Amino acid sequence: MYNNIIYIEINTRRRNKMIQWELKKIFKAKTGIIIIVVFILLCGSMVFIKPELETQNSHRNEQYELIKNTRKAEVIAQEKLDVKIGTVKEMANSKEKDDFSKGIKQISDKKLKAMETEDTTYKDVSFWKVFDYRATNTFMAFCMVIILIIVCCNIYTDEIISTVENLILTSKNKNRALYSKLSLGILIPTVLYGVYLGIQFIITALQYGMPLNGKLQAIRITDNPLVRDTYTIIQFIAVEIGVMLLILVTLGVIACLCSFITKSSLASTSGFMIFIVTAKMLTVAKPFPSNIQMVLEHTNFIDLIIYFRMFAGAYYGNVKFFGMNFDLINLCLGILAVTIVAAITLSIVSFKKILVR
Amino acid sequence: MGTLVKSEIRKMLLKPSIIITWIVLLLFSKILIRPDTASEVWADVFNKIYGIVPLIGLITFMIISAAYTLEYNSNMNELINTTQNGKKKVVMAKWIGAGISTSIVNVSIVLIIYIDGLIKSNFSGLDLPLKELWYFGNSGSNITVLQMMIILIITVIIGSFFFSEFGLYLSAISKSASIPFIFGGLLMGVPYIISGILSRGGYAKYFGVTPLWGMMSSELIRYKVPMTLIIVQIVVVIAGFILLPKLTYKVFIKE
Amino acid sequence: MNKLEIKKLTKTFGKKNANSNITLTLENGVYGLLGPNGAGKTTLMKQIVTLTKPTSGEIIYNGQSIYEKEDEYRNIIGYLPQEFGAYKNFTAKQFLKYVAALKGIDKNKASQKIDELLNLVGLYEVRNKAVGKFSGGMKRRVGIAQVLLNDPKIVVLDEPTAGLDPQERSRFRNLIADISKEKIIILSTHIISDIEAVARETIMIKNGSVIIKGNHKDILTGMKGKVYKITTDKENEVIDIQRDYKVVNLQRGADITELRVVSDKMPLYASAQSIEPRFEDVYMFYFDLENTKEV
Repeated sequence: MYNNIIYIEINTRRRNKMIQWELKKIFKAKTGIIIIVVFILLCGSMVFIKPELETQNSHRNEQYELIKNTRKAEVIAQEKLDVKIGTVKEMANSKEKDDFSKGIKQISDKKLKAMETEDTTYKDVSFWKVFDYRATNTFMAFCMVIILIIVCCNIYTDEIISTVENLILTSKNKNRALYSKLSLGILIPTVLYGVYLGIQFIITALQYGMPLNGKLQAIRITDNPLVRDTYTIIQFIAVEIGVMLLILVTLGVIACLCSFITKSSLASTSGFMIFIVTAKMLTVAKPFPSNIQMVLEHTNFIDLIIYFRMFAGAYYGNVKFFGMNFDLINLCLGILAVTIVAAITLSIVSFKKILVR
Repeated sequence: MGTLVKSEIRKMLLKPSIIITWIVLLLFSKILIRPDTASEVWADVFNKIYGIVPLIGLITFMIISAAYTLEYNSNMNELINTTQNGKKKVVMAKWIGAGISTSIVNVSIVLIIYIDGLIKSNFSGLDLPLKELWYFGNSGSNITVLQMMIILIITVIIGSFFFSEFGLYLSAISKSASIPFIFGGLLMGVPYIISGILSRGGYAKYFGVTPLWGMMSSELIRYKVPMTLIIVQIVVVIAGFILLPKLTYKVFIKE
Repeated sequence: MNKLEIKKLTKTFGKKNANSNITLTLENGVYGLLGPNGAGKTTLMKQIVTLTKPTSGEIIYNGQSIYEKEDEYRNIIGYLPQEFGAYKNFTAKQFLKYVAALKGIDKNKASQKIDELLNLVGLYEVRNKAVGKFSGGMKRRVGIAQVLLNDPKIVVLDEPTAGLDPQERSRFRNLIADISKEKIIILSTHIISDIEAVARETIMIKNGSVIIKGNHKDILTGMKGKVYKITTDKENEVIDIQRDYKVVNLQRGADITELRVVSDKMPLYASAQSIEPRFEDVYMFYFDLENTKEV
């Protein structure tokens, strides 16, 4: 057993070494500089990006002029909270008989019970509101996708272009080198997103004070009061971060797969873009029955990134397949997880079948 | 020069991946319009043409992203630079070839949507003023549907040439085809996304200075973009046409 | 023991047989793989280094199929591809460190080995220079250094001297001679003089099959009586000879033209005389004129 432990330890170190070499290659090339620049711009620009806080209220008139509510912050915030609780109460008292309304009623009942345990006066949640917004921002996701295209779509095609491909495929550590490339599809989005969250946590704390009241109900920070469960603020943000990470890792692994199965940077990038765009195209063309359409509308990456806040932690009722009811959002998350597994599996198959023809 | 241009078109357009993507996009364009009254159909036509800008961008940059990286990777750039026709003529031929290739593809997509619109509207409504279409509701424009169709074709061609040259410049300065794809895509995509977000307000009209709205001129009418902004845009495009080939040439012949 | 057996190896791409029923046994020493473009040399080499799998047949190293324990087999091979490139932004030393990591060589051992090899190939002074700034010959020397990093038992070199100047080629030949003890070295080339200088045996491939395998002495003995010199002062005779026979060399003097031809039978010219064969005559005899390269 001791020998097995040593073997695992040595293998892990060797794999880590190959991953280090992959990272070195990325950062020695121009692309490394572009990634750093994009990441710095992203983190820096978030200093200026924030949502409308709970203590603020404004709207635009017909002339599109911004009209700000000048009442006291606490008064505005309490009013907003009262409106959200009012909406939840309405949903809980709904007399509609369809499945979706029944589901909403159930969720609303649970929420009201959870809110009974806490005081319904407004508490300062500015930190969490802003952090949540920055953690799941469309612009952030967009920048991450750009980084994934630059790094992961070229992870193997760069070896073909620099003609080092043959050296890798004929070396003893061929499989380690290939698996380390594949693992970057998971590591890069995970590490980058993690570092981004850390930076945003610090920036937000400096701007809005320390994180307070995280154990209160999540409807205090969401604009949509129909959060699917009685999550606390911290739980809700954790769910959103988990879902965002799932999306980014799925894209990372797919980008790596495109690199393994194509022979040029252009083919890899095009393949990746076509994969992203195809599902969205199908939602516009609507060739499938409504249940499949619903799933497509919630699993195509374009809508997932642009309308992320309407996906993570939300409730959209059930969808029927093969006579069984499935919660739509859970099904979509399952499909994303299956997509990661499929992409990893196909990549491994490509190592054996495609790279060695 | 004709031979060079033809060679460039062949290199860029006659690739299985481009042909297949083009066919798929044409088939997709065919199913976008629902049958309805003439004014609904034509409003939908212009709405959908702007809606598929991401796909137009995708195929545009698929065509041009590898234009120079192909030469660098096969070491043809050195050979080209030692030939009589090399240097300037090749750079010009690439631009013309890229412009023609992307124009053919983009115009064909727009034409398919037009033809589908004609069929679904029973060949009527071409003389409707744009202000009667919901898509142009606030524009107050008396330009007819047919006139807008013709103007749009012309601006799509000019826009294709502009984005081709921008993409070629990016291809010349980078060794990877991802860079033209990403940054060319951003030039097209950022105004597309942000204008969608800001469309409810009076700020949308400022996107009239972007090359994207120059290409999709229906947006200039839709948001009543003032003439001053249109002139700025024309200046941007002309500057691009003059500067980008020069910059591309400098990069390509650099030792 | 160091023995590589290739048994009835066939590789098909679509309808084309790139290699057809090749059977060879290779032991320590240098083997020259000779043949025109498209003969199947690179395909054979790629199968030996596991870059591609055979359609049928076996490759056995020391009694075991190379696919039984692929990682272990790859540990004892060194491969220099025909189009060798390195990461342009890496220095020679950094690139070799990377290849050492690929080959699973311990970091400390690799450092020492890299310095030795850089000295061997004459690149120690420029070890910290970016490979992108190297000349073609220098890049090829980096390629040879990476081949030897893991002290391989089987070395496969695909056209290693293509594009090198005579000085580089001479250096390369000496290097091969130095390293050839206790290694199987398979060297493919069009340059006949390289094979003559270093190879113990030559394997000639045509249309995917081996047509000759043997040492130079035996091969040249087999060519006795097939190489002739014809002299003529008539231009139309020169044209006729070029049309009717495989001309290896044509030398025009002030009045007389000397032609070196290969033929199964004595050419029907009075001036024709049998001469000692050289290795390029062997190539010309088995392959066509357009595939002849510089000597």
